[in-house]
Amino acid sequence: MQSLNNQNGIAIITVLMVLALITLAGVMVSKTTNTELQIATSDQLHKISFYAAEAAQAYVIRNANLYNSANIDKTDPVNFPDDSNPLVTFSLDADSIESFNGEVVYENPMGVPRGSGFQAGKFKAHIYQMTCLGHGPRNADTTIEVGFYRIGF
Amino acid sequence: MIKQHQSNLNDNGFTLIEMLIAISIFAIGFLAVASLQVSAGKNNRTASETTAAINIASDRMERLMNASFTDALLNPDPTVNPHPDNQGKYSIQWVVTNTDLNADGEDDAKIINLTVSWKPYLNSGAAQRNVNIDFIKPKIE
Repeated sequence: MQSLNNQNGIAIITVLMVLALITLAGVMVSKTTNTELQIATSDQLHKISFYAAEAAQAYVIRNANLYNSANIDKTDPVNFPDDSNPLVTFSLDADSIESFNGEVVYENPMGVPRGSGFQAGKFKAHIYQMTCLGHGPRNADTTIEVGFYRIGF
Repeated sequence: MIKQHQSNLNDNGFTLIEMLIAISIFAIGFLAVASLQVSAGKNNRTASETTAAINIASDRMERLMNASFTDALLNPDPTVNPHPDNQGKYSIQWVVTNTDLNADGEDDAKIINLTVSWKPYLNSGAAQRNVNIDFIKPKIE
């Protein structure tokens, strides 16, 4: 009977239980915040690598040897910036953290699109597809695929 | 009879020592959690500001991507670079430089280096933060 009436230590037990609840709430808040920060960082890295991949399109447009008569073999995609080594990347800037590389594949020739005029009749539209890989910091990668054609013989 | 009653219903309060220990333990724990809340709030704001800044940067970059190659916004002349602008507390600037992508000795594209920077809210002592995006715009004849 005596032991049931002993209330020593109830204050500390109550305090510890309340503290445990507050700590739990605190841990949940910090986890949410961490996730928010990760979302923001991932979004940033994605945008950086996305615009690097977009910049690869500019490289392809300005390098006609990637899609002229030098590249008409369907089985042999041309890698850029270095055809012999697909792992070589092109830095956007001298001190840039972004780079890109990729390949241009010849798909097949077809008739010129309707509306090109009948003088274009003897020409063909040569269909190509470029696969552009943009690389950002912390291994962020974005791939863009773009189809395009060249009008020629 | 009275004595029996007293021993069954013990209405002693907590001792002073007991309360002091309990309150000090609670205070230490609570202060730790409170500082956690403050730093969580700061980090949440950083995340929100970074998201806003990267969206402003992306919005501006899309506009520059679709501007004409000879547009004044893409003037590579060093006297007008970096091109300045701002949106609220975010200052936007971009540097345009000519480049030669096909290595034929003639400039045929422009590198756009865009930076959005801002001062963190409620933390004037903190370093300025910024986000940076690069892009290359080709000249199309």
